[in-house]
Amino acid sequence: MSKNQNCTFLIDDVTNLTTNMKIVTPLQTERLEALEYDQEGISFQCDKKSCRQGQLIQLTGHIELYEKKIEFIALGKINTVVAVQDDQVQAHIHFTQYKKDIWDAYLDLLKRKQMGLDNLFKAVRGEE
Amino acid sequence: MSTAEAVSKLLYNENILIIEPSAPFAQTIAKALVEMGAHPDKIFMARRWNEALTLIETKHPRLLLTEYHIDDRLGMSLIEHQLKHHDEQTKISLILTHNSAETAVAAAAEEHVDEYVLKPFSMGELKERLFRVVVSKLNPSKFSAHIANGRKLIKLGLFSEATQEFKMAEHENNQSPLVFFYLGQIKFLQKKYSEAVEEFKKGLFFQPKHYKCLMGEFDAYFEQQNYKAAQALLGNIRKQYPLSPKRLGSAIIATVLSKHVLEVTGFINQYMQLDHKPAELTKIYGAALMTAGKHFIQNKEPDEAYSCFEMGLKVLGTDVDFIAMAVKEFIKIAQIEHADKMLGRFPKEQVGGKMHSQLSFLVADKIMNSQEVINRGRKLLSLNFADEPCFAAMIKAMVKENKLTMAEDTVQKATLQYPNQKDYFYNLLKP
Repeated sequence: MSKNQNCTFLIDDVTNLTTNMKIVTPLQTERLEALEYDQEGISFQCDKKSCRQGQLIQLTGHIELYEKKIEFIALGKINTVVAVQDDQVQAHIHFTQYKKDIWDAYLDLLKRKQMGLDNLFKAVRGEE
Repeated sequence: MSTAEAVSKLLYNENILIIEPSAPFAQTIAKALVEMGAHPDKIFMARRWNEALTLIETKHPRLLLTEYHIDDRLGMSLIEHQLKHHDEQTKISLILTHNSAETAVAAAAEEHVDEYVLKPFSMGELKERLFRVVVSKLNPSKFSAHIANGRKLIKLGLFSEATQEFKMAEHENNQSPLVFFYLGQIKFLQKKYSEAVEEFKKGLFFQPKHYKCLMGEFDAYFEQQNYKAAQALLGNIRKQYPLSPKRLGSAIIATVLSKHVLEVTGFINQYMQLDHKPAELTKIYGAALMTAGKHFIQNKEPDEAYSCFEMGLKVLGTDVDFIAMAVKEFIKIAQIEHADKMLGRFPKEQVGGKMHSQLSFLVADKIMNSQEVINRGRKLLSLNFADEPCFAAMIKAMVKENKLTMAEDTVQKATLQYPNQKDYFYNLLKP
């Protein structure tokens, strides 16, 4: 049985460097959450006034890898903004400056974690 | 039509329900579905369990995507309702969650979940997984189709027809433990437990770690009340798989009934780590820990008994009936220090209440002189708090102090309250 590996990414702060404003959720008190990730970026949902395509962004967060908390800072550009509700958009940041080794380690662990759960899921279902 | 077109067509035509407390996640999932071909007007979203249930009953979604926990309930419990409108071969159910606990995954796999996806996900991966599930439903292999048909027939109680289906599945793959699992399950449902075990063992021959066959064998021993064999098998299962909450309950019962009662404490970490603790499991584990504690009391090992009772309180919370039982057990073996310590676990608001006063009196009876016991007993009587053991302790103290009139008076009061115990109380008057 594999041990449950702790592996989470929490966004602490996102600042729009172009406007020098913080990127927030419409409620402001809610934490921004990574909805999707890819090799060089993440998506989150925020207030539609917070950002526009092409603007420069600084993201500060931390990754919990195993028992360690690792600070993760990235500079990037908003490359897509999709309206999802009247006052909200889903924005994607494409990282341009970031610690690639940390981000890759996080993605790798996420992948391995999902693979471990897939194996367990398959084994318990007993399928071919 | 290509496979991609067929998937897209299915998604376009069917109602889809996303049950997700986080609106941003729900919209991300919806976006993926629309990009794969789903009709936006056929995607429904619910944030609450009841809301989801209403949508299942009215919209009959063929696709259901849910978080692991919705309100305080399990999202996958909604799949049972989805199955009223679509059979297992056609319905599609996914869990999309942050919950990566292995017990959660094992529980989902034992239910009717088709895929378990961790959040956050990459859009590409989510689509790929969805695509794979839909394809598996559109084009099941001959083997899977026979298995699915057989399962459907089992549900209808058509066991010989189901057996035929599984034999046909065996023809497609003669080394599949799954076939033997289902053949075993039929025997199990027919209450032919020994024959069921034989089938499960055939499956385990091909795949010694096959979860369903292992659990089938365990269940068959359990039903046969062969707890020793069940317990022995359990060790093997636990080495390889986490036990889902449902399984954990049976494992605890088998452990107690196979007279391995002392091993029940070994389940505490797994129990505490469960993020969903069903009430029935909590009840079973509390009772098992009480049994283990009583076992230590019988062997005059009060420290070990105390730690079992402590664990019981961790499991049950502040349960006054459990505390009272534990206190009485310590009184039985005159371990007053432990009894007193356990009495200290009573919730503050109930200290001085009827049950606390009774137990506190019984503890005092073991450490105070007879006169002090009489004084405390009279207080108890004036509050109308005395129960049978309290009456008995009082009467004995009065007889010891030669206060016979007072003792007779107390016997009369006790007899009024417990008329069936009249002889018992009168016998206490005899020197």
